[in-house]
Amino acid sequence: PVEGSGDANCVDEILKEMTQSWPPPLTAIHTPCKTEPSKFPFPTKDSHPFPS
Amino acid sequence: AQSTEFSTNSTPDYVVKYLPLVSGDQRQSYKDDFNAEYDEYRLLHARVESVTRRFSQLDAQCRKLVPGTKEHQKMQEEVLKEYKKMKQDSPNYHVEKQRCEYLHNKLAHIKRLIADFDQRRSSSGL
Repeated sequence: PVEGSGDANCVDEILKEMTQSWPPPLTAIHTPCKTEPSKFPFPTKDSHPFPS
Repeated sequence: AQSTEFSTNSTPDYVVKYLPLVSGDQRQSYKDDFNAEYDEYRLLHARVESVTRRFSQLDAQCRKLVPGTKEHQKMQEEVLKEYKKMKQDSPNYHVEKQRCEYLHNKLAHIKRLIADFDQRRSSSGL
């Protein structure tokens, strides 16, 4: 690292270092509570009304 | 998608500390740990992201110019100036970035364990 004369190299180094790819942020844990999903108060609509 | 940028050679502490989940209570405690550090992580992440974006812009502008020209020279000075300013504003930038990378990996690890647990539970439970 030579001071003064190495400005261009120095800039290249800076750019290389400062533009390293940065992953998108992790999302929060959006969560299903323990019991909720299974405690469905009314009959599920998924079951087919007609036997196919 | 690409989450392999952050790699370390030795086994990180969180891999030792957070093992695959076996109970719902454990799940809650993992989630609490995740949330406890999530805000700090997001803050650091946003800061690094904005600095990275700024320098990427400068980089793109530099590439458009022909090396050796006055304009190029000026752009390079701009980069140096911006770098010095960044150093002044956040002298701990590199430490913060490393901390953020660490948190990213750690939180991703915890999150993955929770997701694995949920998947196992839903495929066996229902």
